[in-house]
Amino acid sequence: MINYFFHLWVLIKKEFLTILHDPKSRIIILAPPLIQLALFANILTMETKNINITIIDYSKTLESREFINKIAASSWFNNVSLSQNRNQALQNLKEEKIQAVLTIHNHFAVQLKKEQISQIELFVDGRTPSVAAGIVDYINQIANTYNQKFSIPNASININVRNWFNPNATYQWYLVISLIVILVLVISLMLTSLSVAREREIGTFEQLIVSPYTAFEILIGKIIPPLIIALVLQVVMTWVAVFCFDIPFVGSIGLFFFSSFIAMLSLVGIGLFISSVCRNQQQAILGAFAFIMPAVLLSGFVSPVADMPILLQYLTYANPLRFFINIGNGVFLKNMQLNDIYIDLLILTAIALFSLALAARTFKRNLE
Amino acid sequence: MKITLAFIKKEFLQIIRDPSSLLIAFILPTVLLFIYTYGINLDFTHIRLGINNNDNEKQSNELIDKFKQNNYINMLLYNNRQLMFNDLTQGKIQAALTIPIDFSRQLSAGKEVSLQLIIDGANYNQISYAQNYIQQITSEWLNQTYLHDFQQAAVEIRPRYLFNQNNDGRRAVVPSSLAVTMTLIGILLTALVVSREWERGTMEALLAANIQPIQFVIGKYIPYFIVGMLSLSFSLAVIIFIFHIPFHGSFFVLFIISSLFFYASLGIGLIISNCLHDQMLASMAALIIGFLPALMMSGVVFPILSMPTFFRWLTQLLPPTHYVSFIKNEFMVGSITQTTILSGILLFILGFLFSIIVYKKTARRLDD
Amino acid sequence: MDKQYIIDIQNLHKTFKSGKITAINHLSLKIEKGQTIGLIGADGAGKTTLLRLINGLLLPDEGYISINGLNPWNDKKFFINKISYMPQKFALYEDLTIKENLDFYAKLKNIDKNFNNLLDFAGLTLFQNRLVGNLSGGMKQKLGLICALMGNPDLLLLDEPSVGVDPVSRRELLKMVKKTIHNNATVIWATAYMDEAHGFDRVIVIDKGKIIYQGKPYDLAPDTKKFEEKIIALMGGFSLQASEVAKNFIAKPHHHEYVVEADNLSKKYGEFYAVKNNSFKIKAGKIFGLLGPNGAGKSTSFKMMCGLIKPTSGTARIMGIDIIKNPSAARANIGYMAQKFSLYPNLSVQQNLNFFAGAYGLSKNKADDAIKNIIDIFAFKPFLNDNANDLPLGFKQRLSLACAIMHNPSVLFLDEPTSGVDVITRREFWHHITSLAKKGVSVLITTHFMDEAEFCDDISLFYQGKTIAAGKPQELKKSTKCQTLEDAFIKIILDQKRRD
Repeated sequence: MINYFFHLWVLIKKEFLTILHDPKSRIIILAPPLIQLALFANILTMETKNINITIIDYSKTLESREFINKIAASSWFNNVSLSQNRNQALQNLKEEKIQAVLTIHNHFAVQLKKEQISQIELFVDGRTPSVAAGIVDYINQIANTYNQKFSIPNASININVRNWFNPNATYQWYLVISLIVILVLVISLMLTSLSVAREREIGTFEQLIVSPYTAFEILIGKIIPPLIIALVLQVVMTWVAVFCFDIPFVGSIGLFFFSSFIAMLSLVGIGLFISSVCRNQQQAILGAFAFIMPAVLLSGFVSPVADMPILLQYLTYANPLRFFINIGNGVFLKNMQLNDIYIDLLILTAIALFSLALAARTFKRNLE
Repeated sequence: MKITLAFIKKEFLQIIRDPSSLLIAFILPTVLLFIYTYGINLDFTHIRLGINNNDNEKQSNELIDKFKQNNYINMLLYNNRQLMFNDLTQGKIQAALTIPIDFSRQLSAGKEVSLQLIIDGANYNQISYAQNYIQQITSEWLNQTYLHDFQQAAVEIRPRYLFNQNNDGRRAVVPSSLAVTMTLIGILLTALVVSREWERGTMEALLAANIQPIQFVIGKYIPYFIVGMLSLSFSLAVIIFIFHIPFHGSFFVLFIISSLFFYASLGIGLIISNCLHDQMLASMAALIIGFLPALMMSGVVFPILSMPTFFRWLTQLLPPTHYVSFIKNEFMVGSITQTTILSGILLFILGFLFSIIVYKKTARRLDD
Repeated sequence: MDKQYIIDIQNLHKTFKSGKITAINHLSLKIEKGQTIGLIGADGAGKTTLLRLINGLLLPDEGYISINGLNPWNDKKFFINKISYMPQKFALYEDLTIKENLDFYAKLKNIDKNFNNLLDFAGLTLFQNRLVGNLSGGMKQKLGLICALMGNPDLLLLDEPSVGVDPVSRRELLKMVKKTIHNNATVIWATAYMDEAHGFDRVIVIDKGKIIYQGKPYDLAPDTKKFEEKIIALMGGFSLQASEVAKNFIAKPHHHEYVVEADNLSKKYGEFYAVKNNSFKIKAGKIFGLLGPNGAGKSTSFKMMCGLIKPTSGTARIMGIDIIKNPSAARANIGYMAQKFSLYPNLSVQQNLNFFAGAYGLSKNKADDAIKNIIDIFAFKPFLNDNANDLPLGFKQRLSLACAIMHNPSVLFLDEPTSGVDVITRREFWHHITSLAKKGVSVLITTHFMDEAEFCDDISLFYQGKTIAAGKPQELKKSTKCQTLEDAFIKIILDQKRRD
């Protein structure tokens, strides 16, 4: 029994060594995920910030100045400039020096005094639709508060909004957890998909087959090191998320890592399958990318799965990342329990079993 | 010159022999374009809204009908509030709205009522949409029901989206996604081409035949440049003729700037390839330097504007950043002389810098 | 000046790993024009480094090289067409065809594409459009040589061109060089074949980066056999001691009369039989030699025996266990050494040994003992922490052999174990192999050294997938009326060719 474990252990150790044999490879494999987590988490956001806006005030009245002051006082705008030259301002907008041009007409104050609706013209740069939408949203909010001073007590509805699980609606929380999952995906998939192709290219694969290891044992040997490396990275990144980004971990740690383990298993299975059908490393890396890119895009990270065409939605059932992100966020932030996520887990298990079986099959057939 | 040509021919033959690289150059972009066109949606999202109506009078039912009619809201009614919150935790609904017991009565009395809206903050993609939709629907309903014969002074914002009338996200995302795809293709195709020569021992023969570094560098750039440009032309044709995204620019300018962009992207791949003679490490580096920054930091998904100042400068070191801003203009505005020239110059500087490094890193002897 | 020197080397010194390893040690050498020179030396003696230095692929730490008065690392462009180098593992693009490879190298060297006669000469004309990856080892070597011979160079540097080439092809390689170079051309030919070296104008023997002998081979000894003994003596000698490997070998008791059985093995690719109806049996403690020209199907047979390739028909049994039905159990009895070096190139010697000991099921303690032993026997101590990839070819082969025998297998499958190994090590290898056989190990071996084949108990001669002759070495020699096995081999093959 002990002998058998030793027998298996040398195989696993060998795989570890081939991945992490020298300082250079250790750095290239372990450091970037952490650097990227830190970098991306700090700079990426879906919110619109640092807006530069030019205001053309033809009205030049107390009222218009009050409105402008409200804009200038808000924290969303980086630079609020006044100008008289509308064409120049629009040219600046075109050249992306500013993001919005707001024009207040000369009858602004008059209309308001007559209790009429006064329209303000807002040009935004439609080349970046998310930014444009954000600016319009901000200015609308400012206009709403400005309008309050005209309002007469009346029936009204006040919506009292609360964000559960993320009280301040911090984008970073969502981003960090999703990034952890994506980086883990990338690492585990790349490591496995290159492993067999690499041995085949070097010629060591034959040597491995001739040894008394069964195909199953070789498979285990190929699976475990990437799994462990990915798990270690996940532990470290989760630690960073909790202690450096102050994201509260409210769920069960055990469940979190257990489900991550299942998810990784499915990724490793896919990686191994890619590896077993590729003749060399060039093909393996191309295959891995051909999977990673759509998987990231169709995971719900960038835009929700529910908004995709129905056909693509069905396709996402084969995407472990979709369920992995779901479970990650759910257990981490929402304290989801096993009975909340068991369907996702079952699907992941199914993907894992299917891909591993497929990999094992092609693997065996490779031996002819 | 003859030697360089022979070298280029050899590279081409190798590309043709291994169909995987052609697959990646032509099939992958098509798949990704399809995903970006139909799968990625940054403009709106469907919200699954749970409503717990404690009032059940005329007014509240009218409001609920409004929610029901809205295309972006999938509504579920709950009798039990706790059940609704459980579903929110489990992710079955994304927002939960509670209508208080005396909603209709208070409104009829002309008073202010509060609605409680709880949003699942763990899935950030929905937060702002949920809040906006519900606010908008309620105030519209309120205005129709109570304010139709009532005139009061108000400021109204008239937004105009320049270059993109309907602020259609697809028009921006689809062309700029090309920058991510093409960066990746450029880097993927070249990241292994030098390390392969080392691993297979052909580098020794090349050096023995006294191939000059400059011939080697040109011989590695040109074939992949041509494959890349063909791939890009193919993708552009798909975008314009199959997905019918309007194009306002000039094909000539597009050709020039795209060439400079590929010049820079291939440089990154060749630097990786020249520095890392191990194919596995080169693959990892391609992923880390190629894919993730191009997706995250080039402004395709996350606005560069919202990043901290220092990182905004950092993004300028990525060729795709310049290409994203350029290609959006080409599609949505038409060539803007000044910005285009600037993008062109910056891309050239980057490309030139990279090719200098490639040249310097090209081995002259075996122990280099 | 009455003699014309093409190469003049003075006080050449080259170290690696920032001075830790000395490859060339203050070496001086003059070589006359128009001679063919054999370069002989133990593994790691510095042959390849010397050739690379002459060719300008490496920069020396000290010293000076002049080729026709020019310096190889600065003036290379002036004589690139005049000097040709064939690396040890000739660097051909496996995904290109023969013709494409030749076109490419011809243009690189700026030579007219006039290699049709060379192709004819090598018998490759028919295969011009075949991918190099699908060629046999001998064909690849010929193609590599054509690349080197193109353009009629003044100086030809060949780094062991005959490694892994069968005797027939080896003679052809030699003939190709002799026939195609011009009268004034100089050839430096690194080799491990003493019969080859004996036929050259001069030999240079180097050891530890220094020249220990140079002169006419005939002056050293008049015939090949004695020449080999002299060279071995020069390189430090080889004394026959009891084989350490065999001493520690504990044979596993078994009752099988025939340990290895091949029964009507065939492998068909499409309509083409790579191996046809191959049957043989190996008794315990016997050495069975599988001989034949490159591409005859030896490696395919070999791989079928290990279960790497599934036979189209027939069975292979190891200790009575069918390798296809129960691969794991059968393989536990096998020690396998592949033809192409196939240990983990990025792992150190120690790590490779650790892995293979465990892989073949040795327990931790036994593995440690076995590794310690192997390190002593094969003198791996100084290399323990080096990557396997950085070892000299001979040491790579030793490491492969070491990994194959560590677990005391009852059967050894050795596919060209002595390719690229120096004379002394070859003797050592065979000493180990025969000693192991005496302890009861059955050995299936392929080799291109016909003097080695003499050590086999039984020989099977393979040609185009079929056995065309079999028997004991003595019998074969008798039936063909030849003095040496090499002559017998060539005769049988040529007879067969004529009959086809």
